[in-house]
Amino acid sequence: MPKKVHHVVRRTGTRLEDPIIEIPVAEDIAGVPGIPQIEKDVSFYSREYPLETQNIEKAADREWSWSVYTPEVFEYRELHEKANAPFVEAAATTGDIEPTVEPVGRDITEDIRRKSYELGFGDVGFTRYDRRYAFASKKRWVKFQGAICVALEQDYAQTQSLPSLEAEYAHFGTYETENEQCLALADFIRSFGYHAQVHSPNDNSAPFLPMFVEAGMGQLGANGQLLSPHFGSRARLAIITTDAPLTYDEPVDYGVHKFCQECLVCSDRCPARAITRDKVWYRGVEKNKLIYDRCRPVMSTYEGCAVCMKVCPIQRYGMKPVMDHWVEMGEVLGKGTDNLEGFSLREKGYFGPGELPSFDRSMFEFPKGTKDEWLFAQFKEKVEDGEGPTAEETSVFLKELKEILAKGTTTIGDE
Amino acid sequence: MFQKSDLDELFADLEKSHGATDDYDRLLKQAHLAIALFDARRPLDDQFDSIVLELVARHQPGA
Repeated sequence: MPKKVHHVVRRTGTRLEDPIIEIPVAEDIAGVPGIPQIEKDVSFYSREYPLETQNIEKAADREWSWSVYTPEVFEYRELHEKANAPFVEAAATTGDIEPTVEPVGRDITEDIRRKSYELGFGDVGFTRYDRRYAFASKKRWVKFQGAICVALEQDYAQTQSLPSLEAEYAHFGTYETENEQCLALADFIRSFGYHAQVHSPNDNSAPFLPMFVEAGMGQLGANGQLLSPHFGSRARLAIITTDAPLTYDEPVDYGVHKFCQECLVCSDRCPARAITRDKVWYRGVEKNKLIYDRCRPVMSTYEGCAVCMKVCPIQRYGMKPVMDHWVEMGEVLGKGTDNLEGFSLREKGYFGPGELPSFDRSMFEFPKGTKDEWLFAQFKEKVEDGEGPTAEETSVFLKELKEILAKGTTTIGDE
Repeated sequence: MFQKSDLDELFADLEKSHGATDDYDRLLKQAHLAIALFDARRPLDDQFDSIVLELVARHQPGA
C-alpha cells in the first residue's frame, strides 16, 4: 500500500528550459527544512572552537597521501594541480577587484540565476554567507554577505566507475571547469556594478555544504555529502559572495535526513567502516559523523575511494525515482542489489552486497595533525623510548621543524 | 535479480554500441534505473528508451 505523501517539493531542472520536477516526500520521512540543528550550539562552537581547513589542520596526512598514490594517480594529480593553480590563485584576489560601472540599484538574483545556467552550472541558490562556518584562517578574507551557491554536476558515467583513475578525472576535472565558470560569473556580477568574491572549491573559505542546504539546494546525506535533487552526491560546490542586492532562498525538506536512516547503504558499504550508522549531535548539528582517520587512508590508497558517493541511490538513480519508489513500495530503490552496492577495489577484487574488504591495522597508521604536530609526536616517541633521541636525531628534528615553520601553511587543496 | 556478470555484460554492450555518442550518459542513467526497477519487480514503462528496454530484456537474469 502506498505511503501517504506529506508534501511535494517542486524544483527547476538543471537547465532553464527544463520542466519542473516534483519530488514526493512521504509522511514517515518528513522532517524539518534543511537540517536539525541547535542554533546556539552552532554559534558556541563557531565562537569557541572555530573550524579550520583540513589543508592546515590535517596537513601531515595530506602530504603523506601523495606517498600512497599509484604512479598514475600521482602523475594525474600533478597535472591537475598545475592546470588548476592559475584559477585558484585568481580566485583568491577577486574580492579586491572593483566594478568598473555604477551599481544598477536593483535586485539581480534572476540575472545571476540565468547566467549560472548559461555557464553550465546545474543548480544555483542564494543565501546569507554564514560566517559561523568560516575557517579560522579565512574569517577575515570573506568580504561580502550575499552567498551565491553554485553546483556543477560531475560526469555520471565516470563516477559510476568509482574507485578508479577514470573517476578521478571526473572529480578533479569538474573542479577545473567549476573554477573557470566561477571567475566568469564573478565578472558578470561586476558588470552590474557590484563586487564578487570567488570561493574556490580548492581553497574553501568554509565547508560550503551548510550554505547549500540553507539555500534549498539539497540536504546533508549520511555520506557527508550534499544530496542534490538533481545529481545526488555528484555535485561539486563553490560559492561566490557579493554585495549585490539578492533575494535569498529557503531551506527545503526533501525527506533526506530521515530517508538516509532507512537506507544507510553508504554506511554499510564503506570499505573503511568510516560512516556511523547512528546520527550524533556534532557542533550543534544532527548527522551521521564521518570518522576521518578511517576514511583518509583508504581514500588516499584507492583512487579517492568515494564508494559512499557511488552507492548512494539518490546519486545513482536520481532523487525523484528514489522518493517515488519509497512512497509506492516502502523500499529503498536498489538496496541489496549488485547494481547499487557492488564495487571493486584495486588488487582486492569485487565486493557484492554484504561483502567488505579487510585491511591490515597498518593501513590506519598514518601521519596525523599538522606537519609540526606530527614531527613533535614522532620526536616524543623517541624521548619516551628511553634510548633516544640521539644528538643526530635531535639535530634532524630541529632542521625539519625549521623547514616546516619556514614553509608555513596553505589553505589551498581540496576540502 | 541482476548479478555482477549480467551487469558487466549489459554495460559492456551499452558502451560498445553507444559509448562514443552524446546519448551515452542519458542511456547509462536510464539503464541503471531500469535495472533497479526490474530488481524491485516493478514494470518498466515508456519513460525508458527502447534501447534500454531491449538491453534489459536481453541481459535480464534467466534470459
